[in-house]
Amino acid sequence: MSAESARRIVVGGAGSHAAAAQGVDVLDPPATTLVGEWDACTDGSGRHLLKRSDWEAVVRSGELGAVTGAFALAWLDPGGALHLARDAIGERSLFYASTPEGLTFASTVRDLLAAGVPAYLDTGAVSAYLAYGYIPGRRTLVEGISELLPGEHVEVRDGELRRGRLWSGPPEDAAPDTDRRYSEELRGILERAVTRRLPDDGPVAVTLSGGIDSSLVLALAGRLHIGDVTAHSLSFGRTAPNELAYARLVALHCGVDHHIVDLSAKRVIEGFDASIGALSKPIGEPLTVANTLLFERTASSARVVLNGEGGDPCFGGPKNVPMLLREIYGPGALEQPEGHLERSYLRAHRKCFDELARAVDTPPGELEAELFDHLHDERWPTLVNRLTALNVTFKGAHHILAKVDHLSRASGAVARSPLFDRDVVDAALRMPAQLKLNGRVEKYVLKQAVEDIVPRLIRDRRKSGMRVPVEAWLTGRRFDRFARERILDGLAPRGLFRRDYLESLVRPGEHPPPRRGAKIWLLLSLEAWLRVVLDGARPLPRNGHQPPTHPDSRP
Amino acid sequence: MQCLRCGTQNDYRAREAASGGCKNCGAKFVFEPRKGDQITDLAFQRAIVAVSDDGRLAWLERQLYYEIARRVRKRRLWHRLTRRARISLEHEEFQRMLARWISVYGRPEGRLARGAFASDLRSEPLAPDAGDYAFERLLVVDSDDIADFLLANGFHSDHKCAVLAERGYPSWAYDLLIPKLREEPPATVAVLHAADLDGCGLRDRVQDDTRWFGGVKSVEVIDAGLRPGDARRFRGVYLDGQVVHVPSPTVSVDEAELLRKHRLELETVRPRALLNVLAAMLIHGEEDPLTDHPGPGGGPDWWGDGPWGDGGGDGDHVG
Repeated sequence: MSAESARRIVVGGAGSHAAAAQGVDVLDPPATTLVGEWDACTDGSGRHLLKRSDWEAVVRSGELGAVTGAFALAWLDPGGALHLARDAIGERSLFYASTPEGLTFASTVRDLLAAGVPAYLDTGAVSAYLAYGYIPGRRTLVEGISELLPGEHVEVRDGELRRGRLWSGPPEDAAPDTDRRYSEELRGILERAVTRRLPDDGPVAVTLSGGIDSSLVLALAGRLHIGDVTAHSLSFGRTAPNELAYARLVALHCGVDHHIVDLSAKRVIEGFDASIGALSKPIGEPLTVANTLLFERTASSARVVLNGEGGDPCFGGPKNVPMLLREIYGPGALEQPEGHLERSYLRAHRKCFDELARAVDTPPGELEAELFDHLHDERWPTLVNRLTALNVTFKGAHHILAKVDHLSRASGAVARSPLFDRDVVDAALRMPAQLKLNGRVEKYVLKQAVEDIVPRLIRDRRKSGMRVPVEAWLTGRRFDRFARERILDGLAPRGLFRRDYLESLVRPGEHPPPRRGAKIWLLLSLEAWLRVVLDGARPLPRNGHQPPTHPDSRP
Repeated sequence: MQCLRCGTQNDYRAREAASGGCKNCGAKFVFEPRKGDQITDLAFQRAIVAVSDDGRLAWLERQLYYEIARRVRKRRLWHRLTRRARISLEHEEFQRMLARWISVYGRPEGRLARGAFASDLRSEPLAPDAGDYAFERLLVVDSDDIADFLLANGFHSDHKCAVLAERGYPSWAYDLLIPKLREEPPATVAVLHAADLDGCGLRDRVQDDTRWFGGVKSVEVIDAGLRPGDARRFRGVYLDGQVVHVPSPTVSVDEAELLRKHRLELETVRPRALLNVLAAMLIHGEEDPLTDHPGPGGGPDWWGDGPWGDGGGDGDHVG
């Protein structure tokens, strides 16, 4: 049975008539009492959920919590209450806002704004964006618009909103099994996760970096799919760091055609606004634009695109070691012990956490407080497994999967992430932490599970990751001018940032701030998102020009 | 001179009229160059900005000492004309300057006290799995202070690199890490040290001492420290030389000759430059020929050229 998907915007509640005019799927009782989008879903007994009636049956039976796959769902129960639900891991997104007319929901923030929700900036969310490079949790950049958490169920009855859980991560095994048993079990789960995401036939594309995660997905897809499988990699030019040699090696090993998409600074600039504007919450990661262009290229040859996203957060990827080292050494005499673990997590993102005070007005301690419960969850006694749960919940649902969902949606591809399969995540949370980080080997159990199908050179190599040469681009006139104009002329007048901070960042001084390129990209993404999504939702004045852009606060 | 509190320019007459203070706000100046001080308040403040990378870094008092010394050297024309190699400011004199500064402006932020990561500061229990892992990189340094500096600035976290000082500091971390690191040695083990006789022997001691990797196969220790020959860019901040007998197992005849004339401490390297050069070394040492990574270039002569070699020299590069 093929993995079926319904790729459409779901909208409902107040403002739905405006949305209906755009041809989206509207909750419109009594004719339509359930709307949703779903992809590659099975119920608790393994049956594929293909049609609206299948979902209605699952909802009636109260078994939604057992569904595996990507979905965002809204329905009315016989008592008239509105329900919203998001899949366990967050492969699809769902947003809602309370308006005077009632609750409005939609698959994207842009659709909510189009449905009439006022577009006022939530300045408090800017700090989270600067620290993480994305905005985790329910909060969005628009006042009053919230996001469902992964695995969350919201019920609105008689005007009262209640939240519940469809899924919650399983605790670490109290009596661990053998290493071999865990890796064998994982192999089976990985094969089922990939199979679930393959179409019956026809071509499938796999985005390939040359690291272990995308390589294993390609290797499994090549073995399990009867149709054509092709691999697609990014290149930023001959002089930029790249992993193409490894990607070529894996493609050769798997016997698939390998295509390379070349990207220049010029192409990235041209695609910037459309790419960032497709996101519901800004994501300040330099691969966003490249991902969009890659999806566009692969969509022309294969509708379904698999990727290796999820290997890092689930299996002890590179964020763990910095956290462990900070835990071992402690905060030192210059810092308070309270909040050390939380600060370590924020710093591990290597964005602007330590520069918040010089960049924006922000209440101290707020971001740390939001992390406390996650970093002290007793279901997982080990730090590595607590980080696994936190990374899946935060970075998985609000950064990686949100990016994949929104950008592939905009480019017409159906992107699927087998390593974020719910069963894969459950297995990762249950197994001992020392199987993920084993000695100094990251993702140990994952490498063990695919040792017969992924070349040793790929399994043993040090991860370097796909690096976008932002620093190098900044030394060129075109990108440097792009950055200066967007940040100083676009972002600075909004009054969100201290101007001297922005100036120090774009000025290539004698002692530039560390990781200047990453920070500039972060701000460029924010600027584009505010302009395209937030300003774009406001009605244009008669002369067709946008009003001056401090109107980020309420009139 | 510019008042640091209100920004007003005060010439000498105005300062005298205001009893050594600012004509506008009355704030006292700490230093008076017309009366023998070798530095102005503004230059002292700029030195603090330089070592702290504009407030981004924690720093050591000795790093500030060398920064001030470079600025003092600028004012001592004779030292520059004669290309004096030895440092232009005695440490005791610097300490008096710092005490005067603190009495007016308070303690500068970010200054690391001795033992900033000492084990007795740890109060929170460790995560139960914290000692179960090994790490890809280890940096052994020859002084506790430099270990504190690297840890306080997150070098360990940013570069996934365990940091320990030779005498086993911080002891908590040493006791926890070393059994695992001996069992599964890091892919990169580097030492960082001063250009002195003791420092030049650190690589061999880490390689051979059983407190480190003595008896452990497949460990090759990289010397990332200052060698006597590296010191040429740091002329003007040298300390006195030391007795060196040749032949020595750890220094060449030429190096011994240089060490007899001068020594050089790691604190002479400006803090941000030290962090940058260490990061570049780690990347360079682990270059992957298959990834087409061009690398930072420059070869192994890390302290010889490039912006990180800004140790002061004749004071032309100190900003």
